[in-house]
Amino acid sequence: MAEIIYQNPDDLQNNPISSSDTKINPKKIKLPPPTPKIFALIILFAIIFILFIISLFINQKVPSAPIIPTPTSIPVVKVTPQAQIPTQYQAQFDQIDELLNQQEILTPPQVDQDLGL
Amino acid sequence: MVYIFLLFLSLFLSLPNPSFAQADLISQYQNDYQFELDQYQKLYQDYLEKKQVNQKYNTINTEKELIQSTKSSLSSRNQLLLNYLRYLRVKIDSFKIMEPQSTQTIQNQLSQQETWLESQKLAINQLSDLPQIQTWAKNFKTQYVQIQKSMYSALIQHDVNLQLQIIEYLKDLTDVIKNDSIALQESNQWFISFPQQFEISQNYLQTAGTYYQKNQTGNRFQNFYPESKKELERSRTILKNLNSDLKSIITKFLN
Repeated sequence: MAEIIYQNPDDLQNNPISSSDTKINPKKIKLPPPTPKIFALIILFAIIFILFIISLFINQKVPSAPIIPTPTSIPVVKVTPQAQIPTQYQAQFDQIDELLNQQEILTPPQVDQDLGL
Repeated sequence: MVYIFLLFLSLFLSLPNPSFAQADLISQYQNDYQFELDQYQKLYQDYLEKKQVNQKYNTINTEKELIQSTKSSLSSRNQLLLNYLRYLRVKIDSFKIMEPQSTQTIQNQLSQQETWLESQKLAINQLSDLPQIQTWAKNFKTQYVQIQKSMYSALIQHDVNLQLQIIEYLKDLTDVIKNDSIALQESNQWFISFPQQFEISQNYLQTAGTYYQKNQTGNRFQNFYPESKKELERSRTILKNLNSDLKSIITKFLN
């Protein structure tokens, strides 16, 4: 009975067909020498990185005070009791008060301008 | 002779006072406006429903109903605007004396718009299909820019006139109080800021008035009223303060 020769696919070195053991030599990849442009770029990034590190130390954040909204000043109109106003001026003041507090004129009606379109 | 005199007297007394007549007219136009506003809101709601139904079913019957409803709404809107313009035109007569020329110009503009709206009553009645309605609606939209300009101009001018009247009353009262008694001579220093405050207030009113004088460009209304209103409110605050100061002065020096 003839012997069946099996090839182990996982083992490159164990190839029963090949007459001698083959050795795979890893290829040495030769990197091209850095061009001046790449060199300048590397230096630039290095400087930026150093500056970034320095800035972290310099600008250490101080917790800022919470922003409290300041109230806007509302003009306060002092109110003088009507009874304290001398009678001879009462009518004139009443007239001015009435005009100052006059009810506003009716505002234009809100209508649909696109009606019919 | 006595009878004739009595007749003339009774005739004279029966004549309505112009100011009361004007107040009646304002009140009448205001009521007409409020009534039409209710009408318009009801008809507009009906129009929206009919429009929705027509979009859904699109039959001859639904289209016919939509045309009728649109015409009713357009007619009501036309009347509503007409009533409002009439109300405004009479209302701004109240303090017209303060700036008669500017006020008259605006009243003329309002009258022109009223005439246009009046002429559209018949035009709306004659609309018979949707394309005709659309053409009319486009024309209206262009005209409405000018209608809005007239409306807001009137609102601003009315407030300017009113505040100018208040300034005049305040100035008169200040002079009376200043010259009223010897005791008040001490109070003269209290009035020092008054002329300046009056001037600032008048400047605000002048600025408010300039907003409506700009021409409208394009088919969209550029609403100048909110900006103008800010100026009017600034002026009003000054006048309220002056009125209050005047009261404080007389209670301090006369009581």
